Amino acid sequence: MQGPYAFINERPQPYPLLKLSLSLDPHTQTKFDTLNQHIRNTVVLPGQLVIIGDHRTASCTAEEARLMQSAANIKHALLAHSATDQFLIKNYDQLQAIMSHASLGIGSVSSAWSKHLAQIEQTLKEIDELHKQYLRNATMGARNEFLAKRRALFARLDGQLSGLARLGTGLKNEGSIKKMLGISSKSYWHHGEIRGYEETVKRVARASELLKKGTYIGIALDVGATALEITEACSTGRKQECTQAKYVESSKLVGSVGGASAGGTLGALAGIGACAIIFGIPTAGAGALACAIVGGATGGLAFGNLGSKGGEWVGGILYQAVEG
Amino acid sequence: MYEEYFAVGSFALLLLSFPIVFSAMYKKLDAAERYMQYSTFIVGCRHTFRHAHFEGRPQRVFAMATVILIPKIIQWRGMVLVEDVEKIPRHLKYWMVIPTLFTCLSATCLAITGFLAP
Repeated sequence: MQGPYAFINERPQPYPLLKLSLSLDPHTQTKFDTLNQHIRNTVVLPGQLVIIGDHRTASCTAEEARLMQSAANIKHALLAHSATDQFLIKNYDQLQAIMSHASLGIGSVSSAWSKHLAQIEQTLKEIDELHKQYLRNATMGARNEFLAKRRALFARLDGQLSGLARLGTGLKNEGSIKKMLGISSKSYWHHGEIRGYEETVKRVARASELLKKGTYIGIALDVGATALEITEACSTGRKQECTQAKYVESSKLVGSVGGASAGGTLGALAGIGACAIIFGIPTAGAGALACAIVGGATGGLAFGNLGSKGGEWVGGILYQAVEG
Repeated sequence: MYEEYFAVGSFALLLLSFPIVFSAMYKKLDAAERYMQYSTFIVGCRHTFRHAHFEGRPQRVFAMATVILIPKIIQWRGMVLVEDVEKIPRHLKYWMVIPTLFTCLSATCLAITGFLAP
């Protein structure tokens, strides 16, 4: 290939291993190090730009300088946001990344917001499954069916993301979800396309950031629900019922949020760890995110519910001990 | 009667686990991670959870504890070097492992309380 070019790294790997896998000739190796200062001697994460220099000259060209600038910008954007995953390379993997943040919400709450996020997650899982099915039997007939089904699922996802989840992300005016997530799957990027990639990284990272706030909204809703329960007991019941509600509902809230937080955190790490150790899935990337989602959501929901039940009981015990 | 003590105790344990984990997260985690900067397991976890709540620090403490507790198994997958783990000072190892085990214990007790609840 004439001139310099760049590609997006697809999986986490140490820099020396990446360099080795490229089979560069000895003359271009020094130049490779110079051009890739942004990733030198680190673990190169998915989404980072790797630059292959122009082999015709030992000095740096203007095009290479531009690529270096883009690589630095991409690195900055990826580090500043949470979008350094394989979803940047493949559309459906990108959906999985959004799914992970949605699941963080599920980890902490049992209210309307988490239900909303769970529905989004379900749609994303269906899209993921659809892609897997298509990859298993990739014939022309299957392709048409796949496209039709995917269109339907994207339409549903579009509806689910139309409210608060999408607000402020800058994605609303992008049209369809396909377009919003539309990143070329090509392994090699010519410099003309790099700018688009940079912009997509920033845009999707903003969407992920917004979805992540689901947890805080969920906690706020849970606190609000607890306050309402206490207010209701105090306004309609006797003084004794009001005091009891204060103990029981407060303990229930502490149990639910505390349990979901501990369970979600442990579950996410357990998921990622189990996938890495048992299946050898790297701890960064779409596969790891999927494992973290399953682990975090399961842990958060299970421990949140058990914590809520336990909290109610403990609240009753404390009420009996203090006021009884 | 004992069940009630257990329930209240497990709740106290849960509440106590948070300050312990937060101390490890903000006082010792960075120092411990410096010994593991070439481990793809730790770097990967740090990256994956980077924008989770509290910069993913709770998960990173648990990841460090996992590496400290089962280094050979993780080395088998080529994600860490046992020699690197051995270089971590003993007090930092305790700071990573104890909060993790404490959280696991409190979560287990909470789950049992949830099952025992009438």
